[in-house]
Amino acid sequence: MHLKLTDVTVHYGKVQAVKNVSLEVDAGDIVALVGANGAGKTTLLRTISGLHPPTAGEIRFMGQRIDHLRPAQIVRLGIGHVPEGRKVFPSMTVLENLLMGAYSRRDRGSVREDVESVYQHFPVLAQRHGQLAGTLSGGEQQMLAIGRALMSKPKLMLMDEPSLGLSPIVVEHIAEIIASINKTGTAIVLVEQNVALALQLANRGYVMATGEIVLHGKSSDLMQNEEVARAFLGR
Amino acid sequence: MTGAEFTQTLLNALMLASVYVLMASGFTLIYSIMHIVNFAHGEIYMLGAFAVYYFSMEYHLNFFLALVLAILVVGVLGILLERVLFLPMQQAHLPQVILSLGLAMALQGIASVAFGAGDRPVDGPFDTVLRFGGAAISMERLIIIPISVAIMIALFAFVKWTRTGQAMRAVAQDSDAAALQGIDVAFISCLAFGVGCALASAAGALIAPVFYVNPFMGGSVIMKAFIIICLGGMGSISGAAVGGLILGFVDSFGATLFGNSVANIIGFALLIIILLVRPQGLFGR
Amino acid sequence: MTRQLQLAALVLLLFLVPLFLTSNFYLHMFIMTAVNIIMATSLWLILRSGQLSIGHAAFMAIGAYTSALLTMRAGLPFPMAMPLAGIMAAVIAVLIGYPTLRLKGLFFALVTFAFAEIVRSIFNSFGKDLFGGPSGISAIPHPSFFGIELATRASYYYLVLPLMLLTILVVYRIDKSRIGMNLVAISQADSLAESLGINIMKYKIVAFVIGSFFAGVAGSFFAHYLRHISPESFTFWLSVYVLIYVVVGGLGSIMGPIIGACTLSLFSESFRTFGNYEPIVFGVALILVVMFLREGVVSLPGRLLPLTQRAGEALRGSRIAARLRGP
Repeated sequence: MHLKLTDVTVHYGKVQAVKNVSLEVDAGDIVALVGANGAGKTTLLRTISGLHPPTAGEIRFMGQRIDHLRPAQIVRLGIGHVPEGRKVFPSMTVLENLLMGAYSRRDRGSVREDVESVYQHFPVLAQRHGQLAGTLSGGEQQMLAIGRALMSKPKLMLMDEPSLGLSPIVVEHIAEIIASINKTGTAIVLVEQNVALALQLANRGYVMATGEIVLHGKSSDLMQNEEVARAFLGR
Repeated sequence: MTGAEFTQTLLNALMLASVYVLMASGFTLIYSIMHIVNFAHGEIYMLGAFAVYYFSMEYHLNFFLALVLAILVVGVLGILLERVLFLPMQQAHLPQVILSLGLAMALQGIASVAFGAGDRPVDGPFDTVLRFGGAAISMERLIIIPISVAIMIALFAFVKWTRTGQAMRAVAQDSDAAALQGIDVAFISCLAFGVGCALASAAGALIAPVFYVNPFMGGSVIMKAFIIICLGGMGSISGAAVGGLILGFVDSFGATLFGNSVANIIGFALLIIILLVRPQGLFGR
Repeated sequence: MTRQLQLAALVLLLFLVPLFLTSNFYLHMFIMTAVNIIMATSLWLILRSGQLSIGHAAFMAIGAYTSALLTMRAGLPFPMAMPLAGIMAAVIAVLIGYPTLRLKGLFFALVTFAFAEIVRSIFNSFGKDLFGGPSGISAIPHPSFFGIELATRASYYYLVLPLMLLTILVVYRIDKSRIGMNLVAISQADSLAESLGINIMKYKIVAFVIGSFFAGVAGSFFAHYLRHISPESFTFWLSVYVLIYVVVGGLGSIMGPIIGACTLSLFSESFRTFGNYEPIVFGVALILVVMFLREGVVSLPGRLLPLTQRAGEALRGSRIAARLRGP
């Protein structure tokens, strides 16, 4: 079990955002986490990454408890996070952004190679390597955010709404990248409002509503599921 | 204005600008990373002046050594203050601003009790007075300019090329995203506050031989800082540099042409105009 | 006892204070606290509209100088000079507010700061025969109502008390009225309020002008009480102190500025016995309050209540346990 959440509850002040969530991610998985806006998906990812402490429950990564570690420590353990809204560093160049992704790495020597491999995934980033990230298009920023997360050589990647606001062609490209990242051995938790996309890419899925997991299973089963179909797939 | 007066005023402007730039860079660095207005900045500047006083006048160290020590000591003090006072408050910005106000009061009070309210003179490193074309300027004023330039270059290099400096820029631009890259935001905040204080201390230490040192010398510093970062843009170090230059010239030429009080008013009027016309400053986003 | 009866009793008690406290020192403390309450409450109204002002002292200065000059140069009687001083402050607030209230947050705060410094510089360096330069104006006459001169501390107390109550009343009524609701809406989300048709600028100006009016009135009282004013009496730090009264007291209700001004005035007056150490003690006290009492001193009762409850429970629990253990 790569990542295991057990009965995780998260509050913002008095408001309960996530309630008793349990989920598992195995090595090599792509796990989809879908649900409507405000269901608590982003909160859950932020909690896994240590940006927000859980009020109750356990989070284990590779057997180790991480729920009260600081974000920097969690990154070093091998969890990468592509945040909602991209959040690239706008006044830094593409290259500087990628180098920031490698901040936690001790093996400085191979950082250059990894920059090259990100450029191979995303040639447009190579073209714009000296450009300020704030001036990139939405799709390019998304690629940069993914590339930046890859720089820390994560064992698990949390991706929060990578398709948001992007055109179908760009989304397709990104979907290919996600699949190929997974093939190299990185497990992925994919939060998406584009449920069809998420379930196609993933092998398993969880459906969240008002902070709780209401449904989970193999993605093929979920796609057949009537409620899911009605709620998200428009059938 | 005669040629000699002009040269004099110009050199004075450059000297003032050099001090302002250091002080304002520290102020804006703290603002950009901690998102607070550090009301204790003037008192830190004052502590830098006192530090150089003690190291050079009481312990009789070489002035430049005293300068370096003053910068280091106050910088470390800044890191400690951040760690002990601000960090536990976890990003609550308005209360942190008020905390800096309390800190300013306490520091000024401690200084006036510990050092006494009187003025203390600090001997500059050189006694010489340079003269060109009728203008006279003492070496201790002139030396401020290259030292300040050197410190600013070091600062820019640090922020642009070192990993830690880049981490600071990242935290300033998006602290959540920075945390997700493995940057220890708490540590960076401490460091930023320390560097900000070190810069203020440098400003105070450099100006110490020129004006007297007393516990109240930091009082009006915060006002200059406000004007400068509004001119240059909040959170931008290059903005602070340009703003400091502009204000140095306004203050120096304004004082020579119209007297101190009018020069003061011009500075504040400039602030209001900039806020109405281009609130983000010259370099702000 | 109903709320209103409690308030009436409190007000009555306030009026009776000089009968019990005859020492000048204590009366002075009460008077200065009242002045601080007027300043804090009027600033609170401005803060309610979502605008941060760190130049409130400027309007106090304008009121003070206006009142002094009207009584000393124009020969106006005090009962006319005081309201006119407030109006002068209000007029200048309109002039400054119109072009600048559209700025938000820190930007507006900086404008108020710059404005306050400009005002102070003008009083300091211009019109020396009018404003008295750095030494200011001295021998300001006692307030005199229809021939009766207020010369004792107690009489000053009886002048400032109704002014304070009036300020609190007016600000309270405004806060509770539609204007007040709108102000809070505006402070939470300008754009949302705007989309609901609330004319933002109008309300911000109203809050700013009324707040400045009362600061002017406080200034007028201050001038005729201390009978000497100078630019040094109205520095940036005074504006900051007033802001601290409000924030430390708590922004949520009108009790905040009142309690904040009371506690901190008491602090600083009693710290005066610390002499040179006063700023240190005040500064440290401020730091401690801000670190440990986040919602302000107003929240203190709320915080203490659970503690007393828990103590009570613990006590009860140990008694029950003792009984269960048997004789």
